Amino acid sequence: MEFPDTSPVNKAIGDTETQFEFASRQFSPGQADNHPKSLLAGIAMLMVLFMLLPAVNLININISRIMERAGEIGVRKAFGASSWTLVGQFVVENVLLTLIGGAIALAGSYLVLQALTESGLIPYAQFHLNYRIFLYGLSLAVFFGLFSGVYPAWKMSRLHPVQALKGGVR
Amino acid sequence: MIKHLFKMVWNRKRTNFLITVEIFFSFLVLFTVILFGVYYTDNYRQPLGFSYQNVLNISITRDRRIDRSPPGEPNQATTGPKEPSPSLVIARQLFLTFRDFNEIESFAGANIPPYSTSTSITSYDLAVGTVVIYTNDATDSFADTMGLNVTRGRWFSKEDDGVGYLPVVINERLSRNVFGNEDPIGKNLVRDARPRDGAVEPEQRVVGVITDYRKDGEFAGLENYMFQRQNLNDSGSEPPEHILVRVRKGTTAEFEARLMSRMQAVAKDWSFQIEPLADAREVRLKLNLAPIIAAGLVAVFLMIMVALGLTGVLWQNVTQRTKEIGLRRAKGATAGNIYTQILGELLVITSFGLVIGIAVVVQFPLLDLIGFINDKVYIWSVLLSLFLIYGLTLLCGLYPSRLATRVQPAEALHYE
Repeated sequence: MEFPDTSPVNKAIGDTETQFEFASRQFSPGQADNHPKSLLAGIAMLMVLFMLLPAVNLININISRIMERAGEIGVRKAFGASSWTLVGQFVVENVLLTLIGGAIALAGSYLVLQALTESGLIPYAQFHLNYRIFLYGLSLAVFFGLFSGVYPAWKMSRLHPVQALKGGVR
Repeated sequence: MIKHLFKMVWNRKRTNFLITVEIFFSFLVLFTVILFGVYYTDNYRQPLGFSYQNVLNISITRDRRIDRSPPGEPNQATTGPKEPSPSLVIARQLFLTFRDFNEIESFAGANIPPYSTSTSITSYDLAVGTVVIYTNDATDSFADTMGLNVTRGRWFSKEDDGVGYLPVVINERLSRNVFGNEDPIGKNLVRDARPRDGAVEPEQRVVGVITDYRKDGEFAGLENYMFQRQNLNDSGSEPPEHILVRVRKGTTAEFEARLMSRMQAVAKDWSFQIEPLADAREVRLKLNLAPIIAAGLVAVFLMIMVALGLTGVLWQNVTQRTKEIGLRRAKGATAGNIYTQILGELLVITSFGLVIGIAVVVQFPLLDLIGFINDKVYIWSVLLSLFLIYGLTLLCGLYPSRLATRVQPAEALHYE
């Protein structure tokens, strides 16, 4: 900190950092300055990584699910449903599923946040759910629902009706 | 055999690609969390450099305006030997009061107590390059009060009165970084002789070396640390911000109340806060642990989810390949052969994902992104993550591959 010459203070000792800047110092030891921006970037990268993993997992599960439903797809194709209709159907189903999962997770996170506040793991911190976080969560659920539904849906729409009806997929 | 496994995996590259991607991401997530976990564990096992038991930390809040020279008068600093400031007089009286208490083994003043979140950092431009040093000011009895281990030279004492330099005590790490294997005692920490207010600051001379001192507590990494002498007998000095008091074992909270009222009687306008260092430690450890516990919990949930998903996918694969497996059984392959084949393929896929993962993870030290993490911690984290991922995938593959061994050739060849 800098002080003008007229200031009675010539030395400052104490907390002049915000909590977050302080936390960023913990993760960049040995440096004279704190780096809140690089901590923020690190957290963002970690969050993306943490969310990509379930997305890839969902793609894998979805592909398995198509195989199970090969018969149904074959029948719909044989009766003239276009590829786009099928893609639409599958993506909508998938988004619905993720939304249901999101709703359950929201209730779960409410409980976890309450437990976290009560446990005192982070001193003096109070955690609450609010609309902003709810909307963030909702949009994330929709995004990952779309993201993880598109590839399996596209793969499904390319199934040959005859093969699909026989139940074999290669 | 191994060449054959690679061929089998390659033939189904579309399906296997997604599993590889999943394993790659799992590895990254697991590695990040484990890296910090191992780093903290490693720090926790290092010596702390001081002992916090039975030490009370008294924080002082005082009004600094009483030390200000009245407007119009010249600043005290420029005139000859100066009078002690009003605050310093109070601090001296306070220190005298402490001697009356039987319960106090020793006490010392310091500007930054252990486990405090405040930090004072100075960058020094030295011959060995720029060195970042954590600094603190402490009185002569600080080493006894905090139980510091002096390994070379001595702690501050009366010998330092009236010398022409500023005595400092540094920790072993700082000594290594600046002086290498040489004996640092009596050497100067050469500072850019920057004149301040027309006068050149006296140089800082090392009088002692202490073992590695980690003010930020058990989970913090080791830093360059330096103590400067705080001498209340020097009229120009500032009163300390904190007083650390080592009390005898078995001293109760009743003592704190008595101490508080005595202090308040001496320094009426100051306010004090007494907190055992053990409490400050508790708060600090929690603060350090919170992010790693949160990340760890998320990672555990992710791993469970990945395990469930992977089992499902592998199960599906085995069901799809009933015909192929039936044919192998009909040609005389044993159940063990099938078992080895399915698990072997899984290991090959996992290894693909892990090779890409390691290629990414190797960039961290190469790009110097995690400079504070030493090689030992890094290698342990990589090994631990590899071990866990292989374990996880094998666990997921056990049931589906057992299912594959139960395929009856006759049924399988009929399968439509």
